[in-house]
Amino acid sequence: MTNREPVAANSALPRGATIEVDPLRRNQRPASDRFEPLVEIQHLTVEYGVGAVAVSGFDLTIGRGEIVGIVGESGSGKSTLAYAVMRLLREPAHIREGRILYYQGDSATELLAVERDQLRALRWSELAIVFQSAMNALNPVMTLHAQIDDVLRAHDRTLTRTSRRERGEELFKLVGIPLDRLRAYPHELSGGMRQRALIAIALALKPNLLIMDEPTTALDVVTQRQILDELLRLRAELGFSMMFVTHDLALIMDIADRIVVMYAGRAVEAGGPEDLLRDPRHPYTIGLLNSFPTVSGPKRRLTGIPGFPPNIAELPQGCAFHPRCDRALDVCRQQVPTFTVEEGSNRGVRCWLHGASTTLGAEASVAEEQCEPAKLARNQGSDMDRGRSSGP
Amino acid sequence: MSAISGGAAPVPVGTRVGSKKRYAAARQSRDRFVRFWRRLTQSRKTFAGLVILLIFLLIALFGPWIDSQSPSAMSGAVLQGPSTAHWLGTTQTGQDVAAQLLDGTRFTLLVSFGAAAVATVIALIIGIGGGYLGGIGGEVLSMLSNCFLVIPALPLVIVLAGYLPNKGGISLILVLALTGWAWGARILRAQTLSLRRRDFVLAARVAGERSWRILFSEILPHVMPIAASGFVFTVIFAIVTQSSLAFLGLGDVTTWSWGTMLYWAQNNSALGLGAWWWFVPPGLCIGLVGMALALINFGIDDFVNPRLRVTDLRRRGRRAARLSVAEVLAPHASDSAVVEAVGK
Amino acid sequence: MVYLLRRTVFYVLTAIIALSINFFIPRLMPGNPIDSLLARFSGRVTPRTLASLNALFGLQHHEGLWGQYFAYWRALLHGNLGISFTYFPTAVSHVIGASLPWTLVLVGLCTVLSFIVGTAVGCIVGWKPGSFLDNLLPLTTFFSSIPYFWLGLIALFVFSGLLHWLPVSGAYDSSVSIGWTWSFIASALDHAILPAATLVISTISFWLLRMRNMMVTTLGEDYILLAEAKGLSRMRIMAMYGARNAILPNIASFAMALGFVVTGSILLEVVFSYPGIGFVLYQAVSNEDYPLMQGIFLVVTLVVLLANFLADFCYILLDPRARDEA
Repeated sequence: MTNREPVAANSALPRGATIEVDPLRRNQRPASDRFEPLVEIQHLTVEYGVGAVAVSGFDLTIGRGEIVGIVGESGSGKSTLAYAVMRLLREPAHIREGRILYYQGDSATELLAVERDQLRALRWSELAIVFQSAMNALNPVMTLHAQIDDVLRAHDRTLTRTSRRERGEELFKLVGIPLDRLRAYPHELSGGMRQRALIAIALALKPNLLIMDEPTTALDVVTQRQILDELLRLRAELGFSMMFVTHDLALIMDIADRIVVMYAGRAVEAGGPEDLLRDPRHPYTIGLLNSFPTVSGPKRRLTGIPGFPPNIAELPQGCAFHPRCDRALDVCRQQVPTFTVEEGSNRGVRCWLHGASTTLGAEASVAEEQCEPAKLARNQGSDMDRGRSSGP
Repeated sequence: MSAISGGAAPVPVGTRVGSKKRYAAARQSRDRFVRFWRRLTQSRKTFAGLVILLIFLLIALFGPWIDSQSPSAMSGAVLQGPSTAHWLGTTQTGQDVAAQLLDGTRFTLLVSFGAAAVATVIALIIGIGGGYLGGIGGEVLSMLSNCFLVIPALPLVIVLAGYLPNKGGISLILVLALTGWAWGARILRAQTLSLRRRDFVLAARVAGERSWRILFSEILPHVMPIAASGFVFTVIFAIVTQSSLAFLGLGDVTTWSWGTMLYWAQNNSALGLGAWWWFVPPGLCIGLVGMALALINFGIDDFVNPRLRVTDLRRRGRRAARLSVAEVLAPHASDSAVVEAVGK
Repeated sequence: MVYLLRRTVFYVLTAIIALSINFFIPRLMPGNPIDSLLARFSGRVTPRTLASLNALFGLQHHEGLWGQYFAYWRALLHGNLGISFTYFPTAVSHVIGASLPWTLVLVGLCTVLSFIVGTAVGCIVGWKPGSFLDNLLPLTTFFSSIPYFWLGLIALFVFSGLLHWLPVSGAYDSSVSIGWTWSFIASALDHAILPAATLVISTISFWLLRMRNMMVTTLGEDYILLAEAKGLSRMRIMAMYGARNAILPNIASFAMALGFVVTGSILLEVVFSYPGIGFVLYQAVSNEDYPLMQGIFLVVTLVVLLANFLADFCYILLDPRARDEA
């Protein structure tokens, strides 16, 4: 364990550090003097069939070694986003527009444009994913070693059988599974062990970005804790970035460097965990915070959010949250607010209550224009073929 | 489906279940049926199957009015090919093939649907009973259906039919039902087992609902698509087996059915005489009805196993948009569990 | 191992039930067809033969049902299935012994071939649902619904009747004698082409459709998505992650399919006058030869049970979960 001074992974991140979530954990972040982008998602829009927009004009840059949490209710598009980055979307989901840039040294690769062979080479060696349910994500008829072995062999034909076995043992040691379990089949392991095995497989090729799709949701709290600690230790050791998708705001506050709150396919608020905890701005974020008790934060009344998330095929006009928002204005019912970034920080919010109309960032406004609901509706019926070509 | 499982909230033990809930349950099962029907008719394949089947059912009902000739009446026109007088030609004794075909449709369909209905009732009792009872009783019932599943049906039917003194419709129905229920019982058992563990059934049990009420109001509506699929499958089995029996001369050769037509055609060596119009139509009808039923089963399969639906989504982009993402992204775990259990 | 043991017990029990059904059917049927039938033969059979028939069909009513039941089992365990009336005075076991190999080779090989080809094609069709091949599926349901014997009739009509390409009936030419000679093998193959082709065409769509559906279901699994994310080759995903899992229920449902295959091939042999067990069963039925009918039911059931057992064994080899099942 290293014990460095807390250094922001993102230089723009203000670190007031009055409400510390867990100072010990913070210390494990690898040192990096400046924000170095690894993945840049530009204006990503994912659609199901025609007209059901699951992710809408999404922008996000993930830095090297950074943990970015994506939080939202089920149906908010957060998992779709994770799958889109891996290009794992299935019919009828398809990417309508946007770019995903992957930075390697000085050059960047457009993930959505690469050919199949190049994509295959990039997958797992650069980006890996951990699914929610390890029971379903592991092939039931192959031993765990065989499932590590085949990814090693697929990406490096020169590896010998012995070296692949050694790598498998190394990985199991890394995530804390007894080595004899390498010969086991998935059904022979406990839930926590299976999830660890899945993480071991994900780390097989030392990827730079680990996408976590609710990796601990199916586990009990103790195991969840252990695995999260393990992940933070591994991150400190190996220096990968994480895009951590979850519905659990409390959990993500604990481990993320930066959090994006999603609602109905859009980012509604972004910022560091302390910012969100201390000064949440979007009514939805406030609602989320009021839905669970915090140990370290100020006392709040637990209220939850009335109503249900909208069906993405029939989004309400204007701000998608307005039917559930007790502070909704007239403008909220008519126009989608823009995502407004606070000057000189990485805080941003998409809400009419927080100056969406006045402080338009130039880029944000252009981006916003392109995904007006009316425009989407007009394009209906003509895009079925586009989905076929852009799907994985 | 999740909408239904959410319907039965845990009720404190001892609470009397009022008529309100009964009404709600009835409405739920009706909504379910409506959705089931809509899903069936949405698919082009299933729709085609329903249309073909409907045509045959109409023939079975009104067949004798379409062609007024008697199927058994002999005439001087022997072994003639299709003509305006005899749409499908004549047999070696000058009987009208079309009349036989129309008349035979009624008996064939009556016996097949009758046998399938009896078999489905047996399957429901043994399958759901075995799945819901559990314990030794359940094991015995499951063992029984597995036994009947592996014992080859036709030799058994042949032996049974060989000893039967009366080979009429009723005994044929019973023989076919007796040999055709096992498959349905097995899949119904698998479905019941998975339903038993679902929240709404557990809630009903905790609430102190009587077993038979749980069976009728909670389990039965949910196994209906599976039972329907089993029924359709058994009709195919009954048509083919019945025709095979008749072809071997083990049925009542004086009653007209598609099988007896083939029997007479074979016995009078229609093949050697080149009288294709004699043996082609009955087999074609068997195939067409079988195909119609199989197409209907496609629709039921799609309903039971939502993953198979993806194909349709691709073709109908607009409709896909109306589905919620959750429905597309997360295929109902419980349903796929059934598929696995059925497979085993 | 536990699984295998359980299956063994199951098959033994099933065999006992099947044989008991065989015992009870003639006794529970109204009237006694055997009585009248045996009366016809009473002068021609030796007392010993009559005694064995009595044991098998329970003519000595004074013995009581249980006594008859044990006598029946005793006779079976000695391999005594009675005397065939059709092929009088040949023993039933002998008649079956002569016809069974023909059926085993023809039906066995065709079933295996159909399973392999159907599964492979189904796997490919299921890999890309909605493709060109997928649109042919409704057609395959037609082929799986028509009775095999009718397809056989059509095949005979076209290829033997109209085109004269292939022989009409039998398993080999009567001019050649049975043996490992080229002329015999060629003749046997010539005679087997039509029934074999009919059988394969009739059964293949069943496997194809099932495999296609299982493949589509399997492709929705997370582990397929993970395999794709891992950057494995398409072949590897399709074979080791898709087909390898999709085939399991297919093997498990072998029992159901086998029933259909047996049914179909019995009639197919009648159509082609192929001297296998189905053809002999037809002869037995036509001549009201009850001992032969029952003997064939018994043997067919045992063979089917054995085939199921082999399928179970394959299942255990392929599914690690079945191996550990307690």
